[in-house]
Amino acid sequence: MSTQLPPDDVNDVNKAISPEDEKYLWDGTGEPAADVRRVEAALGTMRYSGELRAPRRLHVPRRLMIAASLLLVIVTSYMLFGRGGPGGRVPGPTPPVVTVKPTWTVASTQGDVKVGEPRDLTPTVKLRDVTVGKDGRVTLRSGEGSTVQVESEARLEIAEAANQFPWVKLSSGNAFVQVAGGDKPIMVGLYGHAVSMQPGAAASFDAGAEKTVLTCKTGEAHISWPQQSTRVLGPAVCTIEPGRGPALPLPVAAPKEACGVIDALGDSLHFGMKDLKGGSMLLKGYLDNVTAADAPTLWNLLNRVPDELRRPVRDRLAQLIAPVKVDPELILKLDPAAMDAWWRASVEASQQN
Amino acid sequence: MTTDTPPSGEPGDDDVAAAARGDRAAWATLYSWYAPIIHSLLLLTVARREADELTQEVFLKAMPRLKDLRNNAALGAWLCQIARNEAATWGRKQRTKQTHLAALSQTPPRSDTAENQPLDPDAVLNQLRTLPEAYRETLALRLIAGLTGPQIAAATGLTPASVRVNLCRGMAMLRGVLGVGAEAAGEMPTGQAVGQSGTKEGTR
Repeated sequence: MSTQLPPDDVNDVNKAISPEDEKYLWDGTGEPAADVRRVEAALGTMRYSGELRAPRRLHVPRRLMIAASLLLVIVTSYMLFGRGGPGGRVPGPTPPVVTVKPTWTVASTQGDVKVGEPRDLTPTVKLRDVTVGKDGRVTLRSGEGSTVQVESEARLEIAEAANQFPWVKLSSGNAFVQVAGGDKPIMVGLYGHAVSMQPGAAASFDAGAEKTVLTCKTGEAHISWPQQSTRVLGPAVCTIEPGRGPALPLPVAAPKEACGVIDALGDSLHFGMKDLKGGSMLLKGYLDNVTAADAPTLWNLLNRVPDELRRPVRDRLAQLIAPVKVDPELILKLDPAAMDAWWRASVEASQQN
Repeated sequence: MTTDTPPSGEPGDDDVAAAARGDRAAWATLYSWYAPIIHSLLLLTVARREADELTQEVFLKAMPRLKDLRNNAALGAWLCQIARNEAATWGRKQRTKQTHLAALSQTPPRSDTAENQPLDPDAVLNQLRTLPEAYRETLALRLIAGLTGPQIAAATGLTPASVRVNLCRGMAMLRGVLGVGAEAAGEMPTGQAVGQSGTKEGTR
């Protein structure tokens, strides 16, 4: 695949690199110096090999839009799905609501959604497949406490068990779960695979091998992930990605710019704050601008920042919350009882703001 | 010597026109050719794990606007510009970027450079990011995406002569900052000697 070199219209080019290297860089022919091959071998490992697909993560405004849309979903009934036989496509723009025993309900479908026939997984558990096509969307509902919105190009199984909690298992695609009702909803975005969710007013779900567990109280959710604890005070949006765990929750009321900073902080923390200097500058800028409304976010930062950055976060949070009879040094050690006391103080400070 | 097969199957005007009409197969052809190019450019600014996603977003943004493209031959340059804009947006969001680059520039460049020892891809990418824009983009398309000089010219709209200059000067500078090759021994042309800004004047 040798091609003719273009004219040398810059005199110093041939002084910068050997003719052999130049030829190789131009058309891949000839034998370059060993270091050229080493550089190419290193960078070649980054060559793109992906396929076109829907974006994996959504930006904040879209999440908030989804949260708002979920608030409009009305509880109708309960249903059971199961796998077995070929799936049947739910036709038309206003598909019928499928109602069965108390479990997850398909509250609405839109576009290309296929619902399979029920099948017996065990004598007491029935399964139904749901496949959401490229332009499809389905909303599930259970009781008044939980809704699940499954985005396009997703697959999930819905189960009803006669003597145990029913569950939804997301095998691919993305889902958005509203885990607390009322006027302070909490949206949890689930990205990727192997997530199962259990319905109920005290909704909980776990994310496969990572054992992410979410429990809800009135107006708040606690997410336990192996590496850290996250608490979400509604109304807020939080996302969970396989391998990354829960992101820093985004308060719905926070300005867009603040959400951007929180996202950036979360990314920086996820990558280990290798650039500690840059990470600490970003953190300092954030701490300089927080108010009492941000106290829950600071609490979540305590769990995430490297040890050397925890003290300034603790000190700033202490300025925002009412005095707590807890040894501040215990906060630096993430003592569970001390952290719980500071969480309650953070919630109060946020709500009084 | 790269780990994957270089891209092939450069799309033609017919593919662009068909894609503009909504032909998904034509879109797939465009994507298979341009995605590695876009990805390489994004890698110069964004974190590796973000580059895949942003590559997708560049195409998702381009899809509905393709019908407005007046010159099908300019598709590559247009996509590259969308990618640069996406990267710039990402960079503004990542407020640590400048600090990060400053820290990188202070990183001792000549560690782990024993001959025949594989180079750390992230370290090489980080040093590539410190080069002038025209050099780093052209080198990324050559060494990451695996394009040849003529293919880079076609994809970016640069003249072949400009691509050649950018490849040679960029490689010389990259050797210098990595501390490999002849330039590492002190023969590397200075930024002044080889030109700090690269050449984009040859854009067609």
